[in-house]
Amino acid sequence: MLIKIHKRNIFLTVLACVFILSTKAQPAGFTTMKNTGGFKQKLTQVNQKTQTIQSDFVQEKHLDVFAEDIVSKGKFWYKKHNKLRWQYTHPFNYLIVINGENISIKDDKKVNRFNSSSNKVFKQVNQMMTDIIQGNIFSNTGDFSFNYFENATHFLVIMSPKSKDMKEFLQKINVYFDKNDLSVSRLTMDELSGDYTNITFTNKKMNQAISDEKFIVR
Amino acid sequence: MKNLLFVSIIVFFTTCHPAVYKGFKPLPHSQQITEINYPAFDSTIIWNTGFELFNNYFSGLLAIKPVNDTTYRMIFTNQIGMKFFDFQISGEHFIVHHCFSAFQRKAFLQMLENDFRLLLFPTIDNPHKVLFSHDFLLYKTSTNNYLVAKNTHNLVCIEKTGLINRKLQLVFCDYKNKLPQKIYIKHYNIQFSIEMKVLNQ
Repeated sequence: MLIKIHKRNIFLTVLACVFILSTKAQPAGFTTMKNTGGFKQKLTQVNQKTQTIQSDFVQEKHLDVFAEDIVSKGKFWYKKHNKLRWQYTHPFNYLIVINGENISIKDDKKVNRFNSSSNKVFKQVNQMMTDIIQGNIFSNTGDFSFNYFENATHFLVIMSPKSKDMKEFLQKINVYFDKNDLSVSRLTMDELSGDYTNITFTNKKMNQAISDEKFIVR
Repeated sequence: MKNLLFVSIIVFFTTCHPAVYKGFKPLPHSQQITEINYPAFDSTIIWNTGFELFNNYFSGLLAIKPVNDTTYRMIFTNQIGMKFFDFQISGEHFIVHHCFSAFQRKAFLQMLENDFRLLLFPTIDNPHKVLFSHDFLLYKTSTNNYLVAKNTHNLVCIEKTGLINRKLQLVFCDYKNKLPQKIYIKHYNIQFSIEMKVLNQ
């Protein structure tokens, strides 16, 4: 009897592990992408045509220990190559401008300027932000490993960082591409602790003129 | 007007040595205030927070949540959502749940622990002297000075003093519903300061 129970427990444990692993590997509501090559090819074509992007965004920071998420809103402007203005307007003012290797961060109090080439993590974060917004995620094969999924409306690429420095902040980044135009419609950045940051993009405008002045912080 | 009071307190305390207290007069025991309004951190508040350490400035959001009557959870993320530290603090214990490797310096963590303990658990224990001026009452204990506004009874400043100079100052400003909307922490023996403002979501 004891042996029977023991065997049954082992079976249930194995079954539970298989279930947990399978649900972890495949996000809810998504199946493994059928034509990864086709997706990458289309995305490359879209990227080549994309010169500028501007969009509103809503960011929700979820911390497990708090009942309510911290919600912030803002706008971003992207211009090829490597120019990004990421601006929070509510409930705080905070501005990040990436212009090539130069990063400027401005809050209510002061402006900090950095050169990303002098800092490995800065360079990775800088590269990651501009690449994801542009949809040019596959240039980062050295820093991330990729898994591909889809549902009726979205392609989902899960990026898992390889470097120890990045893993300190991120377990994985889920990038949701709209199937209609292959623009990024949502990002979720998961931490090991279970906390996460969710950013939803709305009001997207592609290839509209953006002045270079937009990427200068005074 | 509130900003003026904030600035005047900062200027008062940053430009004067403790000797300035000679302007204060001893307060008769009968006029001492028994009920002092300490800052009430009794619900989860998000603070727009800036740290300045040796000419390095970084800012973000500091969430402070009371876990129970004697313990708080404090999580600091930058505006993008990257988590830098996650502490749990009580009168006796300080637990580091998470800390970005660049901040994992014993002296830095000790400084944060001491500052936040003073911020979250301020009590005026056995003042050996109570002085007064036109606007303030000054409670002096063996280690700290506590400044209380005479009209509101709000605690507006805590100052940690050494034998000669002040070491640390916490200033509480713009009280609303017993909660200061701005808090300023400044160290005088090391280039370190923290500025916190309530984030109205």
